[in-house]
Amino acid sequence: MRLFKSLTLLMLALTFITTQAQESKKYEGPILVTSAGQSADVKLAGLLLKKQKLEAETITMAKAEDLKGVKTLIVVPGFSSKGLGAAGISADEELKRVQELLKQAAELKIPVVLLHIGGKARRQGQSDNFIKEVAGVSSYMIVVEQGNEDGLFTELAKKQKVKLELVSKIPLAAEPLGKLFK
Amino acid sequence: MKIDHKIVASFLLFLMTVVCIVSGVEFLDMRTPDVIYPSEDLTKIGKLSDYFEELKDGSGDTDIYFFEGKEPGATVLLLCGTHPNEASGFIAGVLATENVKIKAGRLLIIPQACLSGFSCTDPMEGYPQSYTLESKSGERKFRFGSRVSNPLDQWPDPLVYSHFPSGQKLSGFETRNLNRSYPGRPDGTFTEKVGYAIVQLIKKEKIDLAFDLHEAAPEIPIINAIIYHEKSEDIGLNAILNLEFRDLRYAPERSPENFHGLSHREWGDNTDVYPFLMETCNPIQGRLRGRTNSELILTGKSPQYLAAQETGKLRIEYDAEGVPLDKRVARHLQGFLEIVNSYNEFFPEKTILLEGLPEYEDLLENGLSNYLK
Amino acid sequence: MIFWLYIVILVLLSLVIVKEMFEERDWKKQIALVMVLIPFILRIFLIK
Ligand SMILES: [Zn+2]
Repeated sequence: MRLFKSLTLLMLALTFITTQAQESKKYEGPILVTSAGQSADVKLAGLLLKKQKLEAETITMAKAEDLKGVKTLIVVPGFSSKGLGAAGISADEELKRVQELLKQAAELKIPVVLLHIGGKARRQGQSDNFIKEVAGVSSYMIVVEQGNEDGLFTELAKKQKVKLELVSKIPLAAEPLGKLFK
Repeated sequence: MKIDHKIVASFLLFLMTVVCIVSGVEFLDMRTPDVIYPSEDLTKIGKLSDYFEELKDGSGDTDIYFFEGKEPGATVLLLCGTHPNEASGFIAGVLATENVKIKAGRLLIIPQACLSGFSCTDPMEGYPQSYTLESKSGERKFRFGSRVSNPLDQWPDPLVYSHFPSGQKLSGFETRNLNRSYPGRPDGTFTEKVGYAIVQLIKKEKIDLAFDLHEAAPEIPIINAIIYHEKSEDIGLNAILNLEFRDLRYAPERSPENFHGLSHREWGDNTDVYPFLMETCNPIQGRLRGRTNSELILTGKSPQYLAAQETGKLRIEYDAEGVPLDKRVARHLQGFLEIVNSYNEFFPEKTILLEGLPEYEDLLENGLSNYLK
Repeated sequence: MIFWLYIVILVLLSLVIVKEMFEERDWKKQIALVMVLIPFILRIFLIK
């Protein structure tokens, strides 16, 4: 029995070492896509990943439990009152969900990619609260230029010391997104 | 000198009669119907009362323009003028009616869904009653109506409007709002009857894809959005990506399941149709608009909004050039065309093929006037 | 039904206002009364 235990431990340790080695290289699947603010942009993100032939699960209201087995978390920040209405929750509840999810991701050392594709429509006010929340823990940012007219993302990326990739249109965000995983 | 109070009263009564006649003539001018010259591909002009007898010859009995292609295909409904104070939707409907050519499928256009609302303006807003557009045949006047049905058709408003059948409570004013009345009922208020007739039309004509065109104030978060019922999601997102390639941004917004009475919710829930609602930015509807005249409808230029935006305190989509009517109509039409294309991609066995409608860039380059007869 | 009830109420109110206006001796109050009358008349004739 003791032998069995130590063997499993050894095997676990081995898998741990190999995944560690891989992780330092690139982002990898399984990918979980979620929203921060419940804008429908998150659905577009799912579509972009599909076009890059990347398999990803989209859970618009992902909870900490949903991170089980996930290797990369893509968060699409953007506030939509219609979206919150559709989800039947308040802005505060949504912010709390996002904070808990990001905390769990940090604990599990799952890298977070910020993907902002909503442009001006998903900036300022409530949207910015969610953007800042996500930017604070992200290790890569892909942003459609129109959302960065005031340089918010440039500033956030500098502060966070992570790479910011700007694209001019939503469909063009697919490529850098795909590159992350290749 | 002291004038007898009875003489004063008689004089005032006379003065009042004059005021009533002068303002009455002006108010009654809003009952003159707008004129639309349909394209040669028109098959017939129907009436909303064809779907609900009781509306016959009343102020809700709006025209429905039928265009039927030689080849079979999907049936599309383009519904405009839900809110008669949102000019771009109505004019997009007029432009489509006057220019569209159809190869396959059927297109039904209702330019003035809330016909009653076109016969008055909203009180206390200081709105103009009409605006004039250049066209190939000279100047054409169009009515700028009220957001809701004319109170003469439905009066008085309750304190609280309880939506049928959900029981959702809204302010009393909304009881005359067509886009809170769906699915409507045959024995309801005037506006509920109009909403009911439209839902009957969608069912009876087996509409596959339906549009409801709107505008909203610059400070409303859903302007420049495409709002879709969850079952229309894939068609909508695909269209939004294709619009992106033309540098046209539309924010995707999913219709909340628990907000009732709206076209994008109730049409989708009560019929087989794939519903879409689009909004453009219309400064004359906003609280900060400043001088309120027909110029503002056409140019969408408001220094107050620019100033407000420059403070950076508000989430406003506005720029210094304003948002002219041409651009708003062009956005609506391009959005309509891309969603139709997207529908065709998803249902290749049942497509609708339209021609004659200007693309966004063409409409901006040639101007609205070149597409109005 | 309720619509016509409101119209009847309006007609009665208008008559009372006209009567009041002919009895009122202060011209300022007479003007106030006639101003109240305008929307009533327009609504009775179903103009506005
Ligand atoms: Zn509207």
